[in-house]
Amino acid sequence: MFLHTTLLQRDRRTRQLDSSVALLQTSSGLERPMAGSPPGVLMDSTVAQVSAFLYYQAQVLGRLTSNAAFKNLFKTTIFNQIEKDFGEFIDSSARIKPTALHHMYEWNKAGQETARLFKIKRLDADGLSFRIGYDFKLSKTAVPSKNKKQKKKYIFANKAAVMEAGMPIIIRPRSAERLVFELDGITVFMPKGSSVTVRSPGGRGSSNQFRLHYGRYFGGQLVNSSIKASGFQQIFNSKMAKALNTPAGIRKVQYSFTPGKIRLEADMELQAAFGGSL
Amino acid sequence: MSVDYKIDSMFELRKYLWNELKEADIFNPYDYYSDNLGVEIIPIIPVQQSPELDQFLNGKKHIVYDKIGISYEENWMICCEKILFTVYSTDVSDIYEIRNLMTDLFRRMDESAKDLNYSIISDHSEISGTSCNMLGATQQVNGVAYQCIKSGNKLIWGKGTPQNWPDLSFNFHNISLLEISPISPSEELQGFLSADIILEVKYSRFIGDNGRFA
Repeated sequence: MFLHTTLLQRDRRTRQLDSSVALLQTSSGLERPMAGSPPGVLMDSTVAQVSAFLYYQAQVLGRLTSNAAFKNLFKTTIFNQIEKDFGEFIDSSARIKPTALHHMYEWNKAGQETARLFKIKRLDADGLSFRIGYDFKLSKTAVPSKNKKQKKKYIFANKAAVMEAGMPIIIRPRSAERLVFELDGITVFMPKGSSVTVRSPGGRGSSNQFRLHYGRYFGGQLVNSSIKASGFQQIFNSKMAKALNTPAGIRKVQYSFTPGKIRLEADMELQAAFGGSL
Repeated sequence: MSVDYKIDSMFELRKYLWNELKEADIFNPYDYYSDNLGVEIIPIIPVQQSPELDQFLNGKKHIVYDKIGISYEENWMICCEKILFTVYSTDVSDIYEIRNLMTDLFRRMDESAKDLNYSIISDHSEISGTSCNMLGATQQVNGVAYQCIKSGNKLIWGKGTPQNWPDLSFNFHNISLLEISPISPSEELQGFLSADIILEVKYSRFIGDNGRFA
């Protein structure tokens, strides 16, 4: 099950990507005034200087969505917070409703972080959006038994997936002559060739419950609260302010500016602010 | 004076909710009086205590809560908590009623927090609820203004409005309603129905000059 999580609606995202390309294209119109006026009696740096300043700002903003380090920081910061909050939400729900979510944990450990049998994962998509999905982990602890004589331990590895799907399971002796187990206080001897079917291995109350809680988390305000709590906005604002700080080369009074040099400066400042390469 | 690390913001929130539930006649406190203990048991219980109170609350509507998570943001003075409340009742209309009251109380963010702060002030006040002589009379005690109001046949001092913000153990800044689930049959308690309500609460504790709890 995957859920497409993006901070912007698809149409808005497309528009924003378009606008960053448009910004770069439009800013190319500034390249001529930046080059300065032909040599004459009166030399004025104003037009070239203002054009260079605007050109620099446009380059920084326009290149942001293609900056790998920025994209990674954006996705990682938000995903880490969602992963933490979602895990805590499921843990808390399992503590209150163990019947519904016990299968998402090792035996008798419903609601404990270290015993979780689920994990959410990030799947990268275009631009700044990413998808979130989940995986079930294999159980590693033995199925608890009240029968103290029972020596052989059985591990129900696919506990989470099977119980969540509400799949019936069939118990039958594989190689032994018979299977001996306790059911409601009565010792059952099951000879080879016969089997017993458990219709709802986790109880009827547990099937599809993880999916339901997952839908509630990502379908409501909870995910938005995580995005806000990730602190991404603060990181973004401070780093962006740093990148948009006009370099000394542009602040210095000059009569002519080279577009290539300004583009390079924009790349360098973005790199310095967000790290990594473009 | 040493810091009381036993107090918790949830105690204040729980007390406020319980008072509001009683005032709205949604809960009758006499139904929750324990003869064995000789006290009224607030039927808003942490999940860790629910096995002990299962028998006492058998058949009665009640609320179970658990803290989902606690975090401090960059502003380390403000704590952010998410709390999951599960309302149990055998009657669907009870759950609607409790859910609607909680929505009404906690959806207004800063305003909800302000109401809770006022309630704390009133709870800690020795004036509020005591009798007064003249309707409409006012008095100010420790920075809180009280007005004489009519309650039934009696004249009493009202809840009080802070004039200068007093030093509260907890100062709530914002409460928001994150999630309300539909009502469904409870798997935990046979014969009960349940619904979840998740709140996000931001508050700060009273601190000393060094920033530590005071």
